[in-house]
Amino acid sequence: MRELRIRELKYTFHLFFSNKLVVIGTAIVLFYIFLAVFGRLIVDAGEPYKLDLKNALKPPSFEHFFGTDDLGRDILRLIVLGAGYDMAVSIFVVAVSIAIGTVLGAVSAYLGGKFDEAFMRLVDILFAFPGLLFAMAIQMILGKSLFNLAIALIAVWWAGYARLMRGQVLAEKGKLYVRAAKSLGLPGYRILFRHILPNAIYPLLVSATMDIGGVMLSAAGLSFIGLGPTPFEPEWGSLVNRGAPFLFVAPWIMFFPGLMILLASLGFNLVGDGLRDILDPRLRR
Amino acid sequence: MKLYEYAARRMALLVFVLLGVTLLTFILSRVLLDPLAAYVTEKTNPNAIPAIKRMHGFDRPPWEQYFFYLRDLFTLDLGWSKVGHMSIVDAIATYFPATAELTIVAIIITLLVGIPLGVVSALKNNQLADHASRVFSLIGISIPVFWLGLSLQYFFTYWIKMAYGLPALPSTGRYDPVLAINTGFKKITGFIMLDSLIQGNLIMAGDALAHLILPAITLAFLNIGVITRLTRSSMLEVLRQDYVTMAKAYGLPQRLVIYKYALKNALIPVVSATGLMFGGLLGGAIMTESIFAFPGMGWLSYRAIVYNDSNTVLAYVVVASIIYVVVNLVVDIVYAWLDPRIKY
Repeated sequence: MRELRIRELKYTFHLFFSNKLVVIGTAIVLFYIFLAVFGRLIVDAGEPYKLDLKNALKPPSFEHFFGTDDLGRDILRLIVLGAGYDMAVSIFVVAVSIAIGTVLGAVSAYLGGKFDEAFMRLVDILFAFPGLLFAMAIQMILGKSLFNLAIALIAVWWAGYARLMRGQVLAEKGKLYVRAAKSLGLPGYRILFRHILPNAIYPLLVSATMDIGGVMLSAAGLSFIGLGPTPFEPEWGSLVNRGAPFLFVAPWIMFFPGLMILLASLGFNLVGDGLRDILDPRLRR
Repeated sequence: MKLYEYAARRMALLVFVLLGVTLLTFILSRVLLDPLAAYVTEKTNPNAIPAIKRMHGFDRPPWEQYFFYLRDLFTLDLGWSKVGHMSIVDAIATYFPATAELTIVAIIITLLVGIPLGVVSALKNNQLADHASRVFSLIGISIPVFWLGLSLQYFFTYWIKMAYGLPALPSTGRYDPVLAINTGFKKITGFIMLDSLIQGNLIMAGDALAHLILPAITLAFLNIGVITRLTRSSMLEVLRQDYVTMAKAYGLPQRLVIYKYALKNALIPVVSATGLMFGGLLGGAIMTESIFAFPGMGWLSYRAIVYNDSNTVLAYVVVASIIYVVVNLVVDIVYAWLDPRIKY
């Protein structure tokens, strides 16, 4: 049994490394995590407060690789310092959304009946509601900050996982092992969380990797329209926002931070897309 | 269950969903946000505020206000839009055609690029063309819309003119108002393209298209990725099926098998995804419309929420949700009708 597992693991690794796109994606994600963790050691954390108006709006040069913004701050340094924000927000949002969505979706499917019906209508309502506007409204109510941005995104994203999880549990519910567990007289919560959930959660985890990329875009988008952190937190979406008024004068201010968002999101999407292929049992062998 | 029974059941549920949407919007914009902001500016006399409150019923308990709100909804008396400077119903009639026009052009671009890419990707499975189109569609779903919009704006409205002296595309708006006066353009339906074609005004139609093209590409980009991936996986599934092998075994020409027998079935999920996309986009693309100052529903609602105009926000959300839910319903029914294997 153990040998079989090792062989299976080796095969997975083999698939992983023979899939170039996943390797590239992983490299991007690792680079990004490196920036987020060690960025503050490489670059002076006081950079956002260093105004140097004589050198404002300077194009990319050897001195400032990505140019400077309207306050004379070095874009490259701001980008390095801002690496952590979007990733922290997206991982937090996806993790909490999965936790909420999984529990509510699974319980709803397991209980069934009127409760399930009512719960699905609630999810339908959230789906019909324009998501970006909902997130904006929540931010307006709670106030603008990075944490509230995350809360707003969670309020929008959890419903998708709930719907996915409900479908999964419904499919598992009638299977033989569940009936066996029931006939042993196990309590409902134990059957649901110890037996059904591990079998049902797997597609959610794969889709979560790709969703991190998507949430990152939403988070950067919300802070781009001004519902994010303060001007002294160099979050990438807000840097693009900062560059928008200078689009025709100093396009580099908005160009490089946006490119970084694209790369980071692409990294997570490449990994998620590849994982789907690698872990899909139908495509193995 | 018969198809019409299914449709009737879905419509009954639809009423509940729409009621829920109105309730949620009501709580957000009238209870949690300040509804008075829609009627008060910094120039308003502070002594007049209680009277304004009484006039619009904001001093009543919330549940009473909600019933008034529902009544207003049914009588289409939705109040004043602060950011639109007109009544809400007029505002929707003015701004919705712009969004509809943009959506239609964006969907056409999406399908024209996405479906061929997906088909090529499936036919050349795991070859260079497949990898290229997969990377392209992944980039499509990873690109920040606001950044793409700004970059397109920079390159096509400024850079190509400055660097190569090529004619640049217009950067903002729906049409050139000076051109509209000079060519004697009149609004009939509010759809600029349609109106100018009715009047035989080709200059104006070209101008409207030039204004549409950049925002439409921006909107299409993300969806191209989605459609390509969907077409690819659906096509791969269909190509594996027995009837395709059988058609090949009969010695039918490759083109006939692929385009007549396989593609038709493979496109069923694409049709339904397109429908949903359409429903989502008709609600207005907040970011794209804001970047290109394109006066549609998304642009209006963005301004409404920034200026705390609860009337417009409420109306917008209700309109967008109704469109989404109805399109969703139509898509599901068409889907069930197209593909008799589907159980409901």
